[in-house]
Amino acid sequence: MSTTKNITRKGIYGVAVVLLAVVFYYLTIWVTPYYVQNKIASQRSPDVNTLRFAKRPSPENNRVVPLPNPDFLYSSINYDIKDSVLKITGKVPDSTYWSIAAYQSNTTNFFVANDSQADGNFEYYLAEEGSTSALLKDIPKEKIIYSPTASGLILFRYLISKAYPFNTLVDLQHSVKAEKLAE
Amino acid sequence: MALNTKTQKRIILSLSVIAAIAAGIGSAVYSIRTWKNSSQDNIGNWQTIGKDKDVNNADLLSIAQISVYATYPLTKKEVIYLNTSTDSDGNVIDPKSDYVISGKKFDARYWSITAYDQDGFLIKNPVEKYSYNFEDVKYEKDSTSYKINLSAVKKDSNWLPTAGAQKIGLVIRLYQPSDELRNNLNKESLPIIQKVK
Repeated sequence: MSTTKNITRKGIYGVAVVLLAVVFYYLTIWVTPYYVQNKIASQRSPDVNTLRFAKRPSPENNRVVPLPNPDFLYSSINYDIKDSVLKITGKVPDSTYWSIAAYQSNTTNFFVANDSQADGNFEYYLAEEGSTSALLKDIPKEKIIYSPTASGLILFRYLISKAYPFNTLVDLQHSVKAEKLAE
Repeated sequence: MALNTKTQKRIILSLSVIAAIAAGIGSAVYSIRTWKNSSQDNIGNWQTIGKDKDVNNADLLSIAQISVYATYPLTKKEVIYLNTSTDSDGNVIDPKSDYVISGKKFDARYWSITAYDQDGFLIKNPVEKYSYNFEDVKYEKDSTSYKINLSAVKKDSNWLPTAGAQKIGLVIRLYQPSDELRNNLNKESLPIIQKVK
């Protein structure tokens, strides 16, 4: 009787140990993207809701985010919109590729718009999904980006092209403004 | 001094818990590093996200791998990414050997082929050339096809340098591809990578 009890107990321990390993397997896989986002955000710029203008990627200046595209000028904003709204405005190049993309805190992309959807200028309001902020009351729906998480990253891509003077592209890159709106 | 049975059991239990946690974390890290997942399709020697998948709705393992090795991609609506680390014969690309990448213009608003090192970063070189795109690749006489020389040694035309890298990864980016290209992306439409030396 006692031997059967011991075997059962050891079996339960064994199953519990395997389950624990499985739980930590999935936990590690689930947490990895959040860790990556935090690590990149802290390495690139400790400030939130402010623009970071990157130079054209090179082997020397781009050793943080893998697979940089050397044909692009990038700008980014590490955002934190808990209980607030972030207004993002700027100019869009008229004859080369441009896009604004939003990534939630696990680095997955949930929004993208490109130059063909903008007419010279852009204006977006970034708010948390489900936000009932009065600041959004009179804003057209197409200008609101709802983020599934309170923090994340906005990434701008400007294609360096023969059709567009590089210095003009840099000026456009620097035309972007981010403003945290308070109620 | 001999440990009593109760203490022995506690030690064994603690070690089992630690081993289980280590095994769970270790196998997750290994899975992420393999860069193999159920969301990828193979087209010849090129890999891309599967037809019914995307970078933002893939399985947990794919999202973790993408976050580590290809951070901040755009969805397929905007861009199709293809990557490889092997030549068209399926052999791993050797940074010390010479290869010719032969392909044709893609029907996309912007396309490029970029070489990366073992960590996914650009390869330092004297001519500061890391990729070729629709604008700067030198086309053949038919104005449609091109040959890119992937080599550690300087080439006269379309040279994509590899010296100094331990491993090579190539990435094709197709921004705003035509519907025809999007729906008919096959082995024939992708560049061939042949070892020549």
